[in-house]
Amino acid sequence: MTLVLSGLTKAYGGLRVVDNVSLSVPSDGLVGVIGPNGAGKSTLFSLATGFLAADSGTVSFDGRDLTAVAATGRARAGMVRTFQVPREFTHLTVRENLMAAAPGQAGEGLLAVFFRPGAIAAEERAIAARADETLAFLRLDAVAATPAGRLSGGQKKLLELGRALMTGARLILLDEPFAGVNPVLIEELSARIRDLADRGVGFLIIEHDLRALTRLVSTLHVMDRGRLIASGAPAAVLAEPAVRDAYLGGAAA
Amino acid sequence: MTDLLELAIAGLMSGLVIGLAALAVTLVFGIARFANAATGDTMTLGAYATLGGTAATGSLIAGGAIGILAGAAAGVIAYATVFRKLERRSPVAALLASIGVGFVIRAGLGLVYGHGQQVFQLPLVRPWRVWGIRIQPTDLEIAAAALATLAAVFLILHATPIGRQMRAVADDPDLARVSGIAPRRVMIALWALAGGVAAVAGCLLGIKTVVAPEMGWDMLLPAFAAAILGGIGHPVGAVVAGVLLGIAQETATPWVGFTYKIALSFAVLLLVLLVRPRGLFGRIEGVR
Amino acid sequence: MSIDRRQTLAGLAGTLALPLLGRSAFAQGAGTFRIGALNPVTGSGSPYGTGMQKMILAAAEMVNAAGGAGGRMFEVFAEDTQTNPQAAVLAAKKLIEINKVQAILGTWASGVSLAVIPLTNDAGAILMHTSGAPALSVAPSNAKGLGYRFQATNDRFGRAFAEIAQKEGFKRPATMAFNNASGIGNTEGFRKAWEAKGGKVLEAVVYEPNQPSYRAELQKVLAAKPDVIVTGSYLADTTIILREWFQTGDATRWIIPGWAANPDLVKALGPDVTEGLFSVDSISNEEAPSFQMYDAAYRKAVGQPGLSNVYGAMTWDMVVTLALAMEAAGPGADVAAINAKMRDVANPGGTKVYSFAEGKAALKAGKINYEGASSILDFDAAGDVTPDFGVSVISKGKIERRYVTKI
Repeated sequence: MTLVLSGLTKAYGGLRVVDNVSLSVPSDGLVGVIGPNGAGKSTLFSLATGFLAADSGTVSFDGRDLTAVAATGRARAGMVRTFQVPREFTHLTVRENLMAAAPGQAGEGLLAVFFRPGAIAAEERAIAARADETLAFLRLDAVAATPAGRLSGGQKKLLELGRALMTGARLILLDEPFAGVNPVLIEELSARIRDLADRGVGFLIIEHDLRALTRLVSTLHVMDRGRLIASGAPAAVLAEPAVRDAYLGGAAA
Repeated sequence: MTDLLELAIAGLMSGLVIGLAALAVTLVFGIARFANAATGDTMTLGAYATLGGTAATGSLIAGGAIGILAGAAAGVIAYATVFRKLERRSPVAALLASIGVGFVIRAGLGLVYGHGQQVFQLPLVRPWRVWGIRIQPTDLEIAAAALATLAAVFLILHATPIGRQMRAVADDPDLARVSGIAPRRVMIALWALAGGVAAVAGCLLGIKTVVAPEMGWDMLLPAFAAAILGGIGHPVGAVVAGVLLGIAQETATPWVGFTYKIALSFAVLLLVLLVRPRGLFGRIEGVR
Repeated sequence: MSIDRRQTLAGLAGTLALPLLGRSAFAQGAGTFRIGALNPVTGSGSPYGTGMQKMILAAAEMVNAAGGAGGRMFEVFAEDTQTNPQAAVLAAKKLIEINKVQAILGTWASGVSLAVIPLTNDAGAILMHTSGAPALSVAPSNAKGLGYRFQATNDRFGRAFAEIAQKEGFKRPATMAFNNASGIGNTEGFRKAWEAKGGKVLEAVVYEPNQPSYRAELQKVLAAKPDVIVTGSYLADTTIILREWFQTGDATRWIIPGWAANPDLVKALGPDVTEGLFSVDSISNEEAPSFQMYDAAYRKAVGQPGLSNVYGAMTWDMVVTLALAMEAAGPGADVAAINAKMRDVANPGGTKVYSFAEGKAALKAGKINYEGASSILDFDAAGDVTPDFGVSVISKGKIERRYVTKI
């Protein structure tokens, strides 16, 4: 098991926004989380990645307990999240956006440019190669030299995914990746995510687009008012009456 | 016609020097997000340091290197002692602080070197005649130095990791931080770079004219004008604007006269901004 | 931080009370006469400013040692104009309002004196300066007659330039002037005098300060093919212009004011560029005993010969003339009474004296005529003097006096 969330709880005042939630994501798993608005899904992400500190419960990743580790530490450990509204460096090219996300450029300051030009050039080539690989994988190579601000919404989502990949993440938490994206691009995105899962990258995905999500993930969790109310194979979960009541408002899907 | 061409060349040379100063201004404005009024005095520091270095080593190149290091050091020290503490405050606070920093540098130089002028003792040569136009070899050397500095800056900005990080911070500081770009290291690199560029501009200005404690401060307004005209935060724009203003100023003198040529460059600035408020190369910045 | 109304009113009342406080605490005692030494310690006048200031202090000490003037001792307050009108005005305000000086001595640049004289006029104080701008002689600047000029006006400089140009046989002059009262005063004075001799100025260029290059301005002047260029300029711009001129290869001569064509210029440009330049300055009253006294004091205070700083002789004379006028006006005289005696003690008629001690003693017997270290100090109706001019030529890197021109 790559990611194990155990008994995570977060309360604001008397209100339990996340209430004793446990789930796990295997190393090549595709796991989805759904629920009505305000169910605590995004907060769960923040607890998992360390942007918020949990009141109780543990987070472990690859056997390592990360509960006490800060967000940057968890990112470095290989767990990265994206945001609902994609953000990119508008004036840098797509390739440069990817290169900027690559870690390991720590230690290269201005002095290094003058004293170790060879090492810097070599490192640049390596990072550029990885970026080009990622671009090809995401089918974004056509816009490699375009300023990222000019991309369409869907392309920006792919870029967001690409930046997460460049960090070398092995578990990516996607927050509504299909929101506002046209169906063709949803197919594209899903295909890429599946490919990555085949390569051993795990995904935990929050989504509202049930059709797209159920076709992608192998496990589905449902949250309502902070609690997990159902978990299992997507079709089975969606058929449960509790889920229909909570999420679908009782009406037929 | 040859007269006009010679004026244009003179304007090009002055414009390159002002353009370098504008580059230093625009780098800081783009990445640290405020107008650095200490740029002029960093120029002056660079000129004095180059003078001292040349006297000590006997070589202008070595002296220039020392000047650049002095400018870079001044930039980093100013950042560490003053501007870092003001990062969370408004840009006006930083601007006022930069005026103070400039004043300290200027006063220090006056104390150490006195207020009389100093000059670079360079051999004087007659101009070359190319198709009847007089071209000063020293001018060509100055232009070459300016262009080399520009090339170095662009190389750093576009072909190195730290340069890319600087541009990322200029683009979106929050996203840069979240992406794992260490702000401290980027800022130190920025201030060193801007300080070094200002030092080169000051050294070139000193070679063209004289070195005195007020020389850089007096050039601040044209440098800012060129930075704004080029589009604040846009390095290429700053240099192009500097050259444009220089040429416009000098070539207009047969009609406008020498006293009003300065007014002319500000008139050009005004006109361009009326038609295109973001400057020649500037981008429309959204406010997040 | 919020300030409530009571605090604001209290604060305002406090500031209003300050001047009253000042006046009572620092009332002009019967024993002292306060003067301000306002000189260009920094800025383009800095080669001269420190020496000027030291001479004011030395002369004041000398007067005090001789028993004071009109029963009073001098108290000197020294400030720096930075050769900048804005800074000078701030310093003058401080001298007048806080130090309560009744005379300000030794402003050097025309822009500075023009900015300061309205303040001294309003305060009823005397201003003694070494500036050249003709405007300082007439209303509104000198409407009250409290201004005294110890240097030749730029106009007179221009006339001297014209005499020299004629004497040297030049026929086709052009001018280059720094865009301020002094520079333009020089070249306008030249033009008027030259045209009065029946000549014509081929080209007159006015240039702005702090430019990265003067190529365009030089081009315009040289296009008229002059045989001499007369300037109203300062050291920095002269350095740049001459350097650029030399590199054009053009063979024209130059007549330049002495404050620009000085040893610093030679040091900056070298003997080749400066060979044959005419350097013109008003000269001190070098034969007179008063000059010897000044020279001794200058050597003691600065370690240089008195000849090296014509303005030092002027500020020395300022103190002595003021002291003699105070002595003539009698004990407890106010500024108006002292001012009325200025020409009495300096202009022709009466015993010639060359020092304060000499003058103080001679006053007991009758009228005196102080012949100063800087000039014979005959003030005309506008408070201006007419010194002689020394014409030097820079030859092999040395500035050599060739002759003296009188106008």
